[in-house]
Amino acid sequence: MNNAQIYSLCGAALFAMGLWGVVVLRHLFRKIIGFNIMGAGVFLILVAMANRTHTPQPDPVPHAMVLTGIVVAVSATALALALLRRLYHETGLATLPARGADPHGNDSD
Amino acid sequence: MTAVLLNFRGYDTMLEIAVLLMAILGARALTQIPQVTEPAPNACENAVQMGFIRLASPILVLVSGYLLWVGGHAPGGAFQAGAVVASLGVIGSLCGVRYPLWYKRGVENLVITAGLSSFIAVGIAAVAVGGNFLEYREHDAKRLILAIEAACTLSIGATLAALFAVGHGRGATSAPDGDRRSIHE
Repeated sequence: MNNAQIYSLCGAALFAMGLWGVVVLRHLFRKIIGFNIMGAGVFLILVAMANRTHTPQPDPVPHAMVLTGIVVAVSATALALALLRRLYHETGLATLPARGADPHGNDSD
Repeated sequence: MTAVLLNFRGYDTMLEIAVLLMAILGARALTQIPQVTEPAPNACENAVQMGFIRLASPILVLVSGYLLWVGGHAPGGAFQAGAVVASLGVIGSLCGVRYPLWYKRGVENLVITAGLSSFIAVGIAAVAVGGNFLEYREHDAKRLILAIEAACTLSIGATLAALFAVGHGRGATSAPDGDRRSIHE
């Protein structure tokens, strides 16, 4: 097993862990963290793929995509955190309401 | 490194700056920061924190300038330098240090948009002299890229610091756990 395969497998494992967090965990902050772990897995796979050129120089395009991806991930995380803060401000909850439930605890729905 | 990227992938870097700008716009819209911020007295009274900030600030500025310059031929560049600038703002936010009085909302907006606007200005200037958008001529590529990178460093630093400040609640209309009921009542 060469380096690229190890990196790719690690990336796939990180992606799966992050996806599990996004789907299963209820607290939205944990979902955001899971989303970032998914992103880290994708970046790791992209970096591994850059090494498949069979030349001393790795392919620069996946590297540039990772650089862009980091910026986009930071921006998306900041926006997600602002959304979470606003949700907490409005409802006092840091989780999405259960299906069919009213976030304010009122009976009317 | 980034200079190479800027030369061949100017669009890429420009749109990255635009994404950051969108993030701060969205975060601000969500937190409803008032347009006029009252200059408040310095809230930092901890001598150790203030001493650390006084010690760290010039070093961080120096490191940022080095990263910006070295980005021309080695790993470094606007994003790394901007992140170092942003760390200054983050430390300040955490310790309760206020921005200088002249750094008002309007000035902050100007700094935040400086990177993207300089990108667009240089791109249009390149079209005006008969090239493609963001196509630099050989002899002034270095200077133009350095100018854009410097503007982007300030913008990225100010944007990231502002994003942290929004998340940290500085300048927000109300604390999340303080008077959250006032919205419903």
